[in-house]
Amino acid sequence: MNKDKDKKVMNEVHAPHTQGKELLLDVKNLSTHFFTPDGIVKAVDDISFVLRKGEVLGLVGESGCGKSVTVMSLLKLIPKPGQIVSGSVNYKGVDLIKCNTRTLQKIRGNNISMIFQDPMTSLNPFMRISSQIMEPLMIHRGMKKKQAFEKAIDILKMVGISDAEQRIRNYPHEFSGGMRQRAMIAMALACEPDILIADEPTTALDVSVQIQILETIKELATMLGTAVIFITHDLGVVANMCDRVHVMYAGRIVEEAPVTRLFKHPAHPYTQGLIDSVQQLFDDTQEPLRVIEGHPPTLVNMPDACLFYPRCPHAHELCTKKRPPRVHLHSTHMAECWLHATHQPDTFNTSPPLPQQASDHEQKE
Amino acid sequence: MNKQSTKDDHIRTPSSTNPPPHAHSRSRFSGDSFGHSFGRDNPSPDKKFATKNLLSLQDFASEKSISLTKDAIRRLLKNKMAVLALVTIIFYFTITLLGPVLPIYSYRFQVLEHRNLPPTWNKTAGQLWYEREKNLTEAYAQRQNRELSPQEHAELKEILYRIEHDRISIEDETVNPHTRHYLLGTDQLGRDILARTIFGGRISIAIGLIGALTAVIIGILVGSIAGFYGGKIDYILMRFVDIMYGLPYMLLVIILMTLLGRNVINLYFALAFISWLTVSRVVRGQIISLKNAEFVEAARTMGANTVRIIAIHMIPNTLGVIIVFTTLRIPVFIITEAFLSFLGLGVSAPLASWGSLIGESVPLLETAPWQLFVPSIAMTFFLFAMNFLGDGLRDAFDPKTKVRR
Repeated sequence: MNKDKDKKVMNEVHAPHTQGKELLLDVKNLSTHFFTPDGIVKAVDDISFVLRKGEVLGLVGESGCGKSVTVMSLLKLIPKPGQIVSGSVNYKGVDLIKCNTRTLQKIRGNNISMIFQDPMTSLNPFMRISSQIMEPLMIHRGMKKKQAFEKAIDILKMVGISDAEQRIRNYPHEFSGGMRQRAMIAMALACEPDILIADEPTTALDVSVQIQILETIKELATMLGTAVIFITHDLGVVANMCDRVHVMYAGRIVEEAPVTRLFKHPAHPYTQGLIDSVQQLFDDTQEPLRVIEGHPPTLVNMPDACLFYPRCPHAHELCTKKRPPRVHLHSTHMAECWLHATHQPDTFNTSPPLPQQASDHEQKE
Repeated sequence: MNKQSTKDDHIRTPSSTNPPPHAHSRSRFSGDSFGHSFGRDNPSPDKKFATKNLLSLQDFASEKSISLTKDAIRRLLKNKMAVLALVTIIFYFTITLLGPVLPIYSYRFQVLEHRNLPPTWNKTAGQLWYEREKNLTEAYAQRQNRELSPQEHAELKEILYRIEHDRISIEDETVNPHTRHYLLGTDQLGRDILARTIFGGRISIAIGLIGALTAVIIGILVGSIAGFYGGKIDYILMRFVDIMYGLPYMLLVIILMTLLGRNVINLYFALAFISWLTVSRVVRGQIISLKNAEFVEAARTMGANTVRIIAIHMIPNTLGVIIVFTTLRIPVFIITEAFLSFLGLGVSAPLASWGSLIGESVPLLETAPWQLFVPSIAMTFFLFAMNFLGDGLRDAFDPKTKVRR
């Protein structure tokens, strides 16, 4: 399948959605490469997706498959050996990739803001919580100190910190992990951004706090009408939070689908593996937990082949020779895999468990 | 192992005859309530207890609301040597700052009759002068095996007369110079060593403080720019620092002093010009380690610009190291200044610094050792105190010492 046809398929995948809610972010063919002494690391390779107003988009995948680099590319915050080599990020008619730093600084924290993984390290230990929440307000809204301080108290209350008037004067080390993450959310949402990027916001927290943080994010995002890009490797969180999910592997989006559909009919062997490797709480069978064997590739000097084939149970000769096409199984469901290619060669010697063909009533779920 | 099983038993048989110990149940209870209190709306019956419990916890927390700097100060105050050093330094600062208004003699007024008088507690300068002249004359006569000549008697009498009747004007005041008390003796030109040591300390400490501060400011600027931007800028700046390091420090200062001429300002420039090198390296290392810290990245995603990130987010985080470095740098400055003054390249008379005082005293080491000892001891104590304070600050700013406490 040639490239033009690929693009056409992609456009078809996106087409039905654009008619729905307002399009906030339109990422097209984004590639971010790191030019290391060992070779070019294609951390993000030809990624396209859209984000609409008020929706929660999940980015799922193992560590090192390019989730964080993708979102950092959106804000053009790629550290030195890395470079955005191609693609466009269209935000309200502005291409963020072509923007100069000053325009970007006005957008960062004001229109697009971010929550980080580890609240222990993402707050400045030498600044009071108050001045950290006041910072975006003073930068972007031009607020005076007093005004910003009062607003900061309001926001801190909003994210569920009781006794905010007292606690706002604390330093980060006087906050617990969950409270720090709340403060981080307060910082990110201070300017009521259109897009909130949450980069594994609950990974560093213990389970009982995780759910509270997730609820806070979801509640506030709904309240403020903020769209969320949610990065995680926890499929449980995905099922809870997201409307649509993009599964990433080795710098590429290998599958995209609405959340219910993804869990019911995972099309890509990698997604299937991910879902299989989730521990079932009421699993009576004494089988050991199924895992995806092996590790993700190092992303240096990758061959023109399916990058998952060394770990894929359905791998075939063709997978080693040519990159699989992007196949849309449904108007909202895309998978990058030879298994679903229409001109599938009949030399497959295993019979893969194809997902049931999409039917319209499932879409309504 | 054993413990584990008994605990399990406890949990499995809640209706056993032995009720679980009170403390155990309470801790579980309070733990639960703490968890609840984070939830927004929780109609739990023990909510009242929960909020009360949480409030007391928060009171505790806000009472202890202290910054890292305050924490460091508190830890510093627990270090006895550091406190002693701090007191000594404050004493030095007060004395030297109050120099002009203290009831001491002028540091520059020469009374040539009072040359090289020893330290005294109760004798006036006149008495000491007469004693010395008398002893000298008698010793001279004794060596020649004769009585004192009438001429010598007359000379001694004249001294006694002058002690009674001499009047000179010092700073618009007519006084008898021979009633002076030189507590720490005089130098070879009859100047009060106490006053000279205090005024010398003024210049030494000032050069140490301002020099270290200038060095730190230049060092922070260069270091943070090199560390933050990296790449070519870093390379150029750091190679410049390397080259400066390669040049012999003392030689460079001596050349600068001879080129610029001898005075305090030039001395200070010469010292500051050389000594920011180490600071810039230290700051550069700190900034590089902070550059990839998540809170810096977070600040960037908040839309903070480079200047703001360096000035507000990075430098305060390196401040602990910088403060310690500055404190340990001041004694080095004072020693360097003393060394230059000792060589005769420092401050010029009638101004004095500890170094120049020591330098001037060396030729008279055998006859007037106090001229060496007084400024040396003053300087040594100050340097000791600075070093102890520096060590104390280093320990206080190092979070690992928290455990030791």
